[in-house]
Amino acid sequence: MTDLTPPAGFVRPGNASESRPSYDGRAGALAGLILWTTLLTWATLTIYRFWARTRLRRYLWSRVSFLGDRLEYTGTGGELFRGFLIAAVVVVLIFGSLSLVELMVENEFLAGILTLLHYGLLAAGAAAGRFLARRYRLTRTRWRALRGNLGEGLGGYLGLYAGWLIVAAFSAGLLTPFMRVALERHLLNATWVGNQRLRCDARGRRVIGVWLLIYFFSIVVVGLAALPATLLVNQATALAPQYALDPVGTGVAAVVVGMLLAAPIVMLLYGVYCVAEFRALCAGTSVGAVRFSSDLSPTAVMAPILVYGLPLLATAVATVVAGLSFAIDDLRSAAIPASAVAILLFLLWRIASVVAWTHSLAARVIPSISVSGAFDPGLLMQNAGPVPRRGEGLAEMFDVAG
Amino acid sequence: MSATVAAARYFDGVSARPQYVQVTASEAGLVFVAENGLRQIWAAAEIRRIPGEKGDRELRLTALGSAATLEFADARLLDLLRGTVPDLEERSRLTRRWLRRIAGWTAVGTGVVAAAYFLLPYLAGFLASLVPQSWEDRLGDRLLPVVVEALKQPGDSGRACSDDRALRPLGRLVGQLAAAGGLPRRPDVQLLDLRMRNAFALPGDRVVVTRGLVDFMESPDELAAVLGHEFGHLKHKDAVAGVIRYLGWDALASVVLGTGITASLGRTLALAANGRAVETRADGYAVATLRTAGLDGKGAASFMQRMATSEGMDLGYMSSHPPSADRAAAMAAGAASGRAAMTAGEWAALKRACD
Repeated sequence: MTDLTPPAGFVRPGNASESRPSYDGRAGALAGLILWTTLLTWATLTIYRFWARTRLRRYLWSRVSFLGDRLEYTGTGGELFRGFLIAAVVVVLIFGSLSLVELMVENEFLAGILTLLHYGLLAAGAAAGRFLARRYRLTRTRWRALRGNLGEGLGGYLGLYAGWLIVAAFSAGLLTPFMRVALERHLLNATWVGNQRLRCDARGRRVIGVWLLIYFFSIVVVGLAALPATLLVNQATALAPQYALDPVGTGVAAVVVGMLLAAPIVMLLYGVYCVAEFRALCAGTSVGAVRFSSDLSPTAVMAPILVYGLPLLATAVATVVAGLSFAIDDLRSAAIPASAVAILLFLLWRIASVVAWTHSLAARVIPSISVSGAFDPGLLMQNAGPVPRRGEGLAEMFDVAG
Repeated sequence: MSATVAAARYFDGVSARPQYVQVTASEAGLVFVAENGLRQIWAAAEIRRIPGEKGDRELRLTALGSAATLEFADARLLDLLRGTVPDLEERSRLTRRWLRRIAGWTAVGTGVVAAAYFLLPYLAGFLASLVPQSWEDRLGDRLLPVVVEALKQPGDSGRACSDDRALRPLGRLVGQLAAAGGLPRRPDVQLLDLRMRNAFALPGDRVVVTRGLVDFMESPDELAAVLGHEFGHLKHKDAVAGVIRYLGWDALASVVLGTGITASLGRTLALAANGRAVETRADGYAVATLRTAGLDGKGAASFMQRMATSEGMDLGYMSSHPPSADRAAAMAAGAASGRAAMTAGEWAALKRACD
C-alpha cells in the first residue's frame, strides 16, 4: 500500500502513530444540550426521549476521535421509537396474559411455576434488551465510514445471564465480578469493528480481589455509620414520641439512615472497582494484532462520582423528609416546601447526572485507552453482517436503554 | 456554472485507508476520481453533511445510500454547498424537522389517554359482564386478603367477626336486601375486625364491612343504606369492572409512557375510585332497594352528612366513596319511611359482635 503524503490542510494534531482516542466535548455545550432536550422530553410527555437520546449520542460520538478521525453516530430517533412501539405491544401482551392466567389459576404448584416463568421472562427480557441494544448501537457507529456490529451469540448471552444471576444471588453478591466480566467478555467477543472481530480473554478472577475488599469495607463503613444513625433516629422519635418504634423498628430505621450516610463512601469504593474492571477488560481485548489497555486511575473517577452521587443522595434524603413531614403532624406545615425541594433536587440530579457523569467520565476514560500494535488500515474493511432496522425496543421496556 | 476545486480526504466505505483526492464542486454536485481510477459523482440532491459541532474545522459529507465519506478542510465549500444542496443539513436539522412529527405523536398519545379515560369505564363495564362467575369468585378470593392487609392498622386482627348470634340479624338484613334488590345470589357479607372505617364490594358477590364503620354508625338504617349501596355495585359488577380498568390503565401506561416514574404516577392516578356516575347509580339502587324492602331510607343521607363532617384525613371510606352534596341530596329526596332494619337490642349486640 502506498502511503500518500497528505496534502496541506490535512496535517492533524498528532499523526498516524498517535495511539489514543481523544475526546473534545465541552461541559457547557453538553449541559445546554441536556437542558433543552430534557425540557422537550417533559413537554411531550416523554415521547421525545428517543430523539433526545439520539441527539446526545450524536454529540458524544462525534467528540471522540481516533487517529485523527471522528466517530459518527448514524442512528435516528425514529428507529428507537419504532423499536419501542413494537416491543411495547409484544411485552404488554405477553406479560398481561401471563398475569391474567396467574390470577386465575387454582393449583398452588402451577401458580409457583407461573411465578418462576414470570421472573424468568423478566430476566430474559432485560438480557435480550442489553444484547440487542448493543448490536443496534454498534451498527450505528461509524469510524472512517466503517461500521461495527454484534455477531451471533444472543442465546449464549441469555444462558450466561440466567446462570450467573442465580450464582450471584446465592453468593449474596460476592461473586458478582465473575458475572459482570463474563457477560461483557461475551459481548466483546461478538463485537465486530468493520470486518475484524474483537477478542477478549479478561477473567473475573483478576478483579475478584478488589471486589471482595470493597465489599468488606462497605460493610464496615455502614456499620460505622450505624452509631450516628441510631442517634439521629432516637432524636427524631424524641421529637415525635407518638411514632416511637419498637427496638426492631429502630434498628431497621438506623440501618437505612446508616446506609444513606455511608452512601458517598460506598459509591467511591464502587468506583474503584469499576475502574479495575474496566482496565482488566481493556487489557484482555484485542483485534487482530492490535491490543488495548487503559491507565485510568481510580482517583480520576472520584470527582464525577461525587458530582453524580451527591445530588442523588440529597434527593433521597429530601424525599424521605418530605414523606415523613406528611405523616408527622408537627411537621405537616413543612410538607409542601419539603416536597418542592425534593422535586427540584431531583430535576437537578437528572441534569447533573447526565452532564457531569457522561462528560467527566468520557473526558477521563476515553483518553486513558491506549491502542498499540501494527494497524494496516487497508486491511480493515466494511462490516458485512446484517443490520437491524429498528432498535432498543426491548431495552426500553426493561429499562436498560440509555 | 462556477466550479471550485478542493482537496479532500476520501473514505470509500470499503476499507479504512484514507485516499486523498481533488474534488470538483459545482451546482450539479461533487465529482472526483478515486485511487482505483473510477470517477465518483455525488449528485447535489444526494449530498448530506455529517453533523458536527460549532468550532469543528473540518467539513464532512456523505451521500445518500452510501457509506463513503468525504472530508474537506476548506470552509468556503460549505457556503457553495449550502446554496446548491437542498437537504444538506438534513441530518443535523433532523430534530427540528421531526419536531412536527413528535408533536403529532404527542397529540396522538394525549388523545389515546383521553379516549381511554372516557371510554375505558364503558369498555370495562362491558367486559365485566362477560367474565365467567367462577373466574369472578376466584378473583374475589384472591383480592380479599390483599385488601385486608391494606386496611390493617396496628392492633387490628383483620379477622371476620364470628359471634353467630349477634350476626344473625345482619344475615336477615342481607337476605331482605338481596331479595328486594333482585340479586341473583345471596352476597357473602363479612364484618371484619379493622378500625379503619370502610365498606366495599369485591368480585364474586362479596361485601366487606369494617367494625370501625359499624362503630361510627348511629342506627341500623345507616348500615342498611351502606349495604344497599354496596349491593348496587354487586348488581352491576362494578368491582370486576374496576379491576379490568386498572389492568387497562396499567397496560396503556406501559405503552405510552414507558416504564419509569411518569408511568407509575399515571397508574396511581388511574387507580382512582369509581366514577361519579357509578357511585350515583349504586346510590339509586340502594334507595330503591330499601323502599322495596319496606325499610326506612332516611339513614343514607344522615350517614353521608356525618361522614363528610367527621375530622381527620380518613383515607378509608371517603377516598373510595367521594361524597358530594348532590349525592346526599338525591338520596334524601328519594328516601321513604319504613320500618327499622333491626331492633335496638339487635343493633347493640351487632356493635359488640367483634369484641
